[in-house]
Amino acid sequence: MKKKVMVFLLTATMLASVLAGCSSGEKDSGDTNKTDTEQRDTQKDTEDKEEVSKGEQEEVVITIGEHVANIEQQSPHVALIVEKFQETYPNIKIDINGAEVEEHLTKMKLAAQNDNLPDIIWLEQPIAKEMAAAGYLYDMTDALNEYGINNYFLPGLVNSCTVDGKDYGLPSEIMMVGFFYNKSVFEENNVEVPTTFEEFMSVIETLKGNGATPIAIGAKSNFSVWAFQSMLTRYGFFEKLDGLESGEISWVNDDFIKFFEKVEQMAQAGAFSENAATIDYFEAKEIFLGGNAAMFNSGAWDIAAFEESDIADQIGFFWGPTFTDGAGTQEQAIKTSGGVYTISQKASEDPVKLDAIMKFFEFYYGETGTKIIAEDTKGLPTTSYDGAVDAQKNPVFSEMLIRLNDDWASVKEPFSSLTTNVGNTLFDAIFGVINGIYSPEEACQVVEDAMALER
Amino acid sequence: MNWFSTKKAKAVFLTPALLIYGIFLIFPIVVAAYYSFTDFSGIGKENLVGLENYTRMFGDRLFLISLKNTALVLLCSFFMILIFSFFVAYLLNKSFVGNSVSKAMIFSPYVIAPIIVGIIWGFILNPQFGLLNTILRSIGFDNLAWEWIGGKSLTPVAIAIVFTWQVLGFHATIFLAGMKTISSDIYEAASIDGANRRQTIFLITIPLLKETIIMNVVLIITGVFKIYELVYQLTGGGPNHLSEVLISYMYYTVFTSSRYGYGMAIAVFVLILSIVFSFSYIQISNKRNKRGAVS
Amino acid sequence: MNQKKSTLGKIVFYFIIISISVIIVIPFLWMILLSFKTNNEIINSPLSIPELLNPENYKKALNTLDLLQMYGNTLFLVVIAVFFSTAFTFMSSFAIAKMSFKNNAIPNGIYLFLLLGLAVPVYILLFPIYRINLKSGILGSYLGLILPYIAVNISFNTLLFVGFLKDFPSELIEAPIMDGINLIQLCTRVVIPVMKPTFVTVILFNAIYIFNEFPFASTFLNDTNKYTLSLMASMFKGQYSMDYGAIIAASIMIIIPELVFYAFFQKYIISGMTEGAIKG
Repeated sequence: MKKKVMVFLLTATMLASVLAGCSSGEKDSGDTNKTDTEQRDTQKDTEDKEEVSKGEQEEVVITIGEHVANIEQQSPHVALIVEKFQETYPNIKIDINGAEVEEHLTKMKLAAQNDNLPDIIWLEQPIAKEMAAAGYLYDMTDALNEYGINNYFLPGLVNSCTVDGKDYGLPSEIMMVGFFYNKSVFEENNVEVPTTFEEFMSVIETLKGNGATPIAIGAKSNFSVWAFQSMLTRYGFFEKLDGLESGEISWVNDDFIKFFEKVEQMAQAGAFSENAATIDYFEAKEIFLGGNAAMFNSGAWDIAAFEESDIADQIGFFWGPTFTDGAGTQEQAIKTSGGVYTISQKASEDPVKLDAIMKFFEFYYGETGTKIIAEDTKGLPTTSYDGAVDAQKNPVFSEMLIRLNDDWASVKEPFSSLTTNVGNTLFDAIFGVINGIYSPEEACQVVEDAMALER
Repeated sequence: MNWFSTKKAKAVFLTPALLIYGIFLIFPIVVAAYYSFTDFSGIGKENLVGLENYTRMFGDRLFLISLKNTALVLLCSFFMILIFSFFVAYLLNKSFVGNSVSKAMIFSPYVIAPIIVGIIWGFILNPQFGLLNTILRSIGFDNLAWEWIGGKSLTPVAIAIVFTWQVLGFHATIFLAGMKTISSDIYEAASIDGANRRQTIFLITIPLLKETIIMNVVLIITGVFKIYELVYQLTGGGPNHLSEVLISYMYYTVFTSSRYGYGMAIAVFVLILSIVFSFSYIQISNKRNKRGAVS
Repeated sequence: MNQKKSTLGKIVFYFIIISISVIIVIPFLWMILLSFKTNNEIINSPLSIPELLNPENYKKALNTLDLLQMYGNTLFLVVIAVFFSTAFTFMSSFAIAKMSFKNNAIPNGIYLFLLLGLAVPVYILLFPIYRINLKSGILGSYLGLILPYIAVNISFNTLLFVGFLKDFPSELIEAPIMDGINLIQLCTRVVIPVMKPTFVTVILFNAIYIFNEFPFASTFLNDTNKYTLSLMASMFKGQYSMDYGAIIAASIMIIIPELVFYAFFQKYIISGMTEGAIKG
């Protein structure tokens, strides 16, 4: 009896694994049902329409690897664009899969090593640059010019991800960061939006004196120091970058020490939530949205969340403080790209596929895609957009749009110009000073040590 | 027992497990050990760097912190878990009304995924808005409302407590399974001879549970060395890596900092440490067994 | 006098058992309370009792997750992997503990060798197994998860099986020789029935491990339709957003059936346990 059971189970397992093996070859897309029916319908239409395009009769499949698991809910603009694109180009099918950011990046690193990358891959810039250097990504400089995609971008968003002057990535979103503030909390405490650091400190001190939490921040999310990165650029980060990389300039220099001293000053004045070390970025956001903190450092990606919150029409934005003892331009802010879309080297070797991919990007960054992003999903597009925005309905969105186009110079994010190791150490250093664990000199030294490993 | 110990029987019985184990566990460890001698970042080509990763480890301040924290967690939780789970198993071994309900309740923490355990206890231990401190403050014990997590030193203790909560039922169940194999005849004989409760426990139950105790000790030690999700959820290893344990620091090195080679060196070190601790215990207990046991 | 002692004893006993059980369960109750709050309330007013039982988190969880599918996927994995890991390890443990070898060092060596896995942090295995799976074409399939799951559980199972088999009375094995049975029958008719508590324990723990296993499942699975329950938290994490309330609600919906199953399961095997303990 047992023998029979064993035989049955073994057969069942073999069957199951064969089936499982088969179905892993099939690639299901994230929103299967919807797209399948639409594809079937539009396919019938195309036969009547007769659009002329290269390789129209051949079906091409593009695979995309995204950094969220639930694309409809967490990257709705991508889901919409993918859908509309397939309607417009019925012979091009898109198979899009995603995972939560950290999991996604791990998978992509594994995939790269094993020649298993999807055709289009979302990556953080440091990783993209490492992969490009290792030969896994496609140099799209010429292709971008050929398809005219660079023409669509806002200044500061072209050349989003370059290695040795060649382009490897396209901006997936705007990284536009600074301090959001709660207008009613400011009013209650009789403070105004600060420009210089001295003004900023006096705002913090007044708020703290009245018992309000000046800035909500979550130390568990070591990446949530965007506005501080802007501040670092106002101490000449980018001017020093080449020197830092070659070793001519050490991280332990006067300007950077002054930068960390400013952070220390803020920490000692009680600018940060008491429990910063035990909360993460999401919890800090909830604290801000619950009206329990005056300011919150974040960026354009939070527009939707802010507009859905209870304090939507009280949220304002400013670029952060300028420094009288700073280095270089003070009126500059991070208006750059965050993650980037890259193309795998393997995909680029098939000309039909490459053409399909470039068409997709053309669609994404062209007028149709831009409209979808700005109007249907209320995201800030990386491309020029001059549609009408209803300031009443979308107060945060319209304010950010204005700021995006103001006359502050745009700089990149320091983190994207460093290796993953040094970048994360920089985050640690900033939080170290915020948490009162590092002195300004120690903070500089820690990053210097990490950078020394790379030289 | 010789009649069935044929070569064929041994081959058939041993091969499946050894094969799968060899391919999916041993071989990967060997590969990981190889990478521990390189400077591989996770992407691109690796270069052999000999023992550099290992020497760097012991000069790495953050690594030493994680080592110290792991030792603290082990120290705090080891006796707590061993003694407490034995005690609970002893109680559950008796039949009483509500026995299965108690078993289910005590075992339930082990069923939850570690990441959820971390989330829930995060909301309990948070010094500002967590359940524990809010209750302490509301009954006037403000000075006991310490920084359980997120502070500079208490986190390992908190981790030990949460870990104990999580695995108590697990270890109690193992003790219970062991206790169930002791037949009631022995206890009857003992009570006829006039043994009281303490004598029964220490002179009969515990010696007969030798194997079970070894099992639990090995499981606790290896379990503590592998703690990761709890630390990640409670403090993220912070502030500034002050509350890292060995595996959470390894995770940071491999996945966040992209220093795969170095991370593998840490992992290999943890592996060796864990093995040395548990195997020494097994060998010592076995020697004691041989000396004094009447099987 | 004796009666007084035993009543007092009983009260103390019940008091201790009930306190322990309740204290252990408090975090669960806290979790249930949190599941009825919005994210805002969880962070900003943690102790407040929500006036209404706000089911929004549960609605969100149900809308985002296909719980039935995820449960089905997980159960499939659990059944297959647990069956094979239990069977294979029982066989190897029996060989180690009960078969005779020319040199005693061999079974002891194999035993220690198989225990190594206990000390292994699974993250160390991710990259190599990914490559193995990819090269053998099983990446993304369930087989690519089942095999590593079996491998990882072998150590724990060996520890338990060998440990309890060592104490298994030899007379029970020697005796049936007279009746002329073969090896397989010996195992199925004599050894396994007496080892029921051990089997139950092993199966239970293997199942829980796989239910909650995260690193392998998240790295080796690509198709969201194949996702297991442990990956559900990832469905609620955007790059810049995390829905704690929904995660807690989803966790409760996953845990409660597990606990109910455990409660029934262990009641059913109570009889099995006491049967097995009786010596012949």
